[in-house]
Amino acid sequence: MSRLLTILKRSPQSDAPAEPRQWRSLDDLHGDSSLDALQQAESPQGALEIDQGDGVSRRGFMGLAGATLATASAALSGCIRKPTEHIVPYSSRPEDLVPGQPVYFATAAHIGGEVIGLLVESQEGRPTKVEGNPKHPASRGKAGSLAQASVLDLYDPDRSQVPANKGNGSTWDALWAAADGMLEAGDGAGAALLVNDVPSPTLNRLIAQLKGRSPKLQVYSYAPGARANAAAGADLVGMVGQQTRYAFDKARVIVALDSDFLGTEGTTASSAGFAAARRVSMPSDDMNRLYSVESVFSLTGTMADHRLRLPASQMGSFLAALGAELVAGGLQLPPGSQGLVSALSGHGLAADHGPWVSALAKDLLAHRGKSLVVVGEGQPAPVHGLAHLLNSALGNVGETVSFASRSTVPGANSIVKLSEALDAGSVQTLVMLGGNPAYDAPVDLDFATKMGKVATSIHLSDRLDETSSLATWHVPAAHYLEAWGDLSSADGTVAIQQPLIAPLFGAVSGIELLAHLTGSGSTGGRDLVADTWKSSGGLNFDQNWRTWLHDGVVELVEATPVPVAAPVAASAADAATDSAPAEDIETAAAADATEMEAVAGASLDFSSLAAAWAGLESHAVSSDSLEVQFRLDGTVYDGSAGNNPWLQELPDPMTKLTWDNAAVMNPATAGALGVASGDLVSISLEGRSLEIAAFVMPGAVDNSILLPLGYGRDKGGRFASGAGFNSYALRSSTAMNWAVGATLSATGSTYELAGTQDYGRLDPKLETPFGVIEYDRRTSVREASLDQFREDPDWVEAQEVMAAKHLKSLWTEPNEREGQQWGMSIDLNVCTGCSACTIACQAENNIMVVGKERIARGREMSWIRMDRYFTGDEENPQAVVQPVACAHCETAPCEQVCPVAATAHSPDGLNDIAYNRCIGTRYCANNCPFKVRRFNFFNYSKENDAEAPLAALQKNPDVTVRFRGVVEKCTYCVQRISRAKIEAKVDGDGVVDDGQVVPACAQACPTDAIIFGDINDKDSRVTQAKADPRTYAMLAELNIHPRTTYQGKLRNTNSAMPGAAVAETHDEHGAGPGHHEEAGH
Amino acid sequence: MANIFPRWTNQLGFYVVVGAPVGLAVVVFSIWYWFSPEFTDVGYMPEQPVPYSHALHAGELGIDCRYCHNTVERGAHAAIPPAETCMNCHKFVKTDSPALEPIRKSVETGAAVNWVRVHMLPDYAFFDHSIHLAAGVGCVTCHGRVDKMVEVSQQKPLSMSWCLDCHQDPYPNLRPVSEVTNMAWDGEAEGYNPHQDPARGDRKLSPPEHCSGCHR
Repeated sequence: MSRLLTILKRSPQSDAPAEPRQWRSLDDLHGDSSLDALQQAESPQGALEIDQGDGVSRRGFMGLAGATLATASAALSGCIRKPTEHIVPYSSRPEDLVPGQPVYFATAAHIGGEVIGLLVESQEGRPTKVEGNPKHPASRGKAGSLAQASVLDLYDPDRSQVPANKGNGSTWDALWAAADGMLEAGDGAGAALLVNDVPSPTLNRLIAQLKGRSPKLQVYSYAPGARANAAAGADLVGMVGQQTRYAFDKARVIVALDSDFLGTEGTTASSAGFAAARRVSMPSDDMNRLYSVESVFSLTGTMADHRLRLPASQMGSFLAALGAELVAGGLQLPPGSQGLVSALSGHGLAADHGPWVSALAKDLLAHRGKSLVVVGEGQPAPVHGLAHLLNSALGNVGETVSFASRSTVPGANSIVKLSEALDAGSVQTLVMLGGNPAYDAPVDLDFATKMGKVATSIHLSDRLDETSSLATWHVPAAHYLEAWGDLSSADGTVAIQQPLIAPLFGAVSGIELLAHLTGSGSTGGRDLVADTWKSSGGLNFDQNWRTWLHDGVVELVEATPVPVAAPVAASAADAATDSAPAEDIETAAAADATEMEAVAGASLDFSSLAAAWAGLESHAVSSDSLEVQFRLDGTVYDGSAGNNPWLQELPDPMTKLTWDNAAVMNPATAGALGVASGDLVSISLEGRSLEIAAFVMPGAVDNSILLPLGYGRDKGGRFASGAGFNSYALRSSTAMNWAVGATLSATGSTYELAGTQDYGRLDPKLETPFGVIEYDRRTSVREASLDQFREDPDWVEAQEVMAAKHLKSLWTEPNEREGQQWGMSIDLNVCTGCSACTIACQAENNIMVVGKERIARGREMSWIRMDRYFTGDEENPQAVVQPVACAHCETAPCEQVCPVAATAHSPDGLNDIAYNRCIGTRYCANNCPFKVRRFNFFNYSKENDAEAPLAALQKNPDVTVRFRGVVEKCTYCVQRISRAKIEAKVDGDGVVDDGQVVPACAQACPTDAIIFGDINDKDSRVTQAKADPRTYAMLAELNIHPRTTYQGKLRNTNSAMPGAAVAETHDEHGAGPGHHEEAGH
Repeated sequence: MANIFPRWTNQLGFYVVVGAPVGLAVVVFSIWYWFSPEFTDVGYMPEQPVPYSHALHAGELGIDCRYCHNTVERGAHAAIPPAETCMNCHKFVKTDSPALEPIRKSVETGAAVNWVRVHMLPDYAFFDHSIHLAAGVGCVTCHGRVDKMVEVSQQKPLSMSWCLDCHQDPYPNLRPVSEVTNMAWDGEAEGYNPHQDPARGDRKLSPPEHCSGCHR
């Protein structure tokens, strides 16, 4: 026994208990004993309570049950027949529709600020699951968590079903009687149109037509997530009307300045591109390097190899310092920008960051043309401009950075201008297509009050939200799955959006409403979209149209990105020949509306940058003058998805909070302000104040507080109400992204925050009657630097708790199994922690939502848990992420203890579960070392159905809906495996090809971190992934042979950077397992 | 001392010791038999909204099962045909029959006909028809002589043990794929041996016996 203990002890040199190297929270790090209670009980406190409000005690229940059974048994005869079920066929079945077989349709959506091509699964006419469309070149088959969850919005119980007049229900007839042709006559004086930044060629065409007829019509555009600063930055350097496009896959060195491009500011394409350059299989492979300079701890910061914490207000200084270092290192600035050199050297960045900046500069200079400086939306236009300058000087423009025309409504003014027009009383008719300005417009504009001044306001929205309840007319908006439309991406790809289901409540889309208002001919969405593309379709329009609908991409129109002759001093001639002349692409119907025409010969012009730079102010932050940051939330985006229970319950990727937002600050700031997690604090900025709960999380810079947007809605619907705090209340038009000068004071009350970060932790010091077993949780996520990987490709083995050869098993080890054996490999090197897999799993497998109270009790239901661990220094930690779901262990501990054999092993390696057999002892959940089994404490599906009856339509008919009292867990999407096997047996040789089965998580992952397949097939992708030297099994010392293995995380540490030792080597265990043999007994 | 217990309690012990196990066995047997699908489900013959006779259509007229239940080879469900399929013939045949009124109404108005389901599996069991047909399991094996039924009744228990009986030893229940809908096919008379059927090729049968084969 002592030998067993010694083998399990990690550090024979010292008897001091080892501190956990990967810690989930500060409580975890400091060994807060309150967490032990949470961890030791499989079902923490409250397990014995029935909280449904019936007030029936267990004893009373047993008595009732007994009595009922006695009476019922007397009347049982004749009551054995199952209830009558009906089969209700079609009266006329659509051709090729096989009941039970899903049909997939291509469409597209503008979600989370990006255009995503989608393939949506339709079961018997109901959309049930959203996937990416692999044929869409911009999004390449990946749909993030917002898109995955959007299918539930179609069945939202709070969708409005009828139009409303001044907040009171009305009828469609009344609406059209008032609104039809409202904008038809006249020259548009007094009319204003507010759109929400949707890049739609048809919308642009209709607006252009309207403006042609009514030249005095004013068009405005606003969306909380619009990239206004990035656009202004492009305008500043001569790329007017253009947007920046990044080719992350081509960059070897990336500097992210206040940019969360792997999180809320990015697209699935940026994650995928980054991962392509990040992926490593052999030690000889190249890996990109990411530097992150940020004020909050974001997912990009998690991935970063080197991270510097700076307040957002000082990012400009940082970039200037970097520029100065680059110039000092020999970088030639483009012509016209010499005026900036003095501004750069007067950057004002604190001197102790000097070494960091100079090492970074050297790295950039060594990677000209293959590097990238990305600036986040939060930074003002001159900072973006400076980044363009540095990119241009480094030769990145045309390689990793390019420009393309913005396809949102051309010439639209900002909402500030609209506010001025409202003030001036020059707006009599205000039409708002989408958006929710009364909730999310900058607070200093006081949009809600100003709307009241307008004689007629019409708001198109999917629910009677904050804006619609104030508008004269509320028009129910169609969900994108119910509507026709078209969307163009940054790279010029156009996708047609086609409906999968007729509008559930007769709702209309933006273009249809506009057609009604302008009284122009057809008001059907399909006709409007077809008209836009008729001339591009040529003679064969009908056939082309059907191909476009089938593929989801309009092939005809492909705008080449605007070539820019990067005007580097020496080789202007070379630059001219490098860039191909742009082709003029005509889209006749969309002639002036979509700006698809490439502008030949445009180039960057930095002449106005110096003046703009001089206008930048610098700010100092302190605990009396705090910096607050406004960022779109990692789960509900800008608040428009606030009534989506899946997204509300999805733990925020960094804070792991569900159902609420909080003011996030680091421990030093919290200490200085006297604030703890859960305290309700009041933050004041520019005379306005906000009461919000505080959350303490390491990793942010001192005196900077993150206020996520999108919560605190009062008219968002039943799930959005009461969730979180409205940070928009502090966001003014002069400080849309960050502001300095806020003060914080405690209110004295507290607020319960429900988060999942401390669940499933392994006890670092397990006390047993035989002594203390110290558990090194470092083995969850194994990390090393790229250099260590090159030195020792088998470094993951050095981090094993026990060498494989010492492992014994209590059970007969499985022999080589025959046939196809399923396995999964998750590459932690490219997993960004975005949690798209979690939502995809929830959508595919009918996983229910349990609500905030139960999350607080540890009764989360999602099958995939995205763990986030901090590592390293408490003040300035790094973080790693790891998705954990059922690992389908070959000798699964859960299978051994089920008293009724409800969970068994299938011949192809899956750990099966038969819900009908389960009696709910939860012994399996108790025995699972990964803690991935979930128990239905209540009849969650009945509760969910009662709250949202329509959402029952979203459920996947191929997966059982679980009842109360059964345990559930990841099944490797066995319904997809079954379907593939059946198809293979019916059509072929019974062998499923590699790539035919893709579980929902793997399909959703933007970086392809999850690979699934047949491990008996030596050519399959998963076999190759598992052959990777970085492959390891979590908790391998338990010898349970999980089928899901992980590939260890690498950091591409730059040894020249200060603090390079932060990326720890763990090499005190470099001696490997050998030293265990000396531990004698 | 007075007798506390009446005289008949003298034999009580004997009867309990003998009777209790017997009683328990009777109860167990009763539940095992009378509560089993063999007893409760076999013979279930609900009344349908339209008096459709398989004996007439499939038997006398010889219409193949797959004419109406046309999704059975491609999908999990052998779907009840849409009313449109009925009208393929009944546009011309028996156009005024009152029995067909619900069908004609359905085609006119689009309202569906509420057929009563005869062969029911619980919601947690997922059955796929196409794979069974591809393997060569005849319709008659599970549904009985439907071509002789005026009203459809359930002939087999469709219980899990009944399914497993075949899954554990499928070969006696197989026939050439071309004979799947032939209700009168007699394997013994034809001398069919599935092991030696060239049409099967090398494909090994692997009917699932593990939980996730049917329970997802």
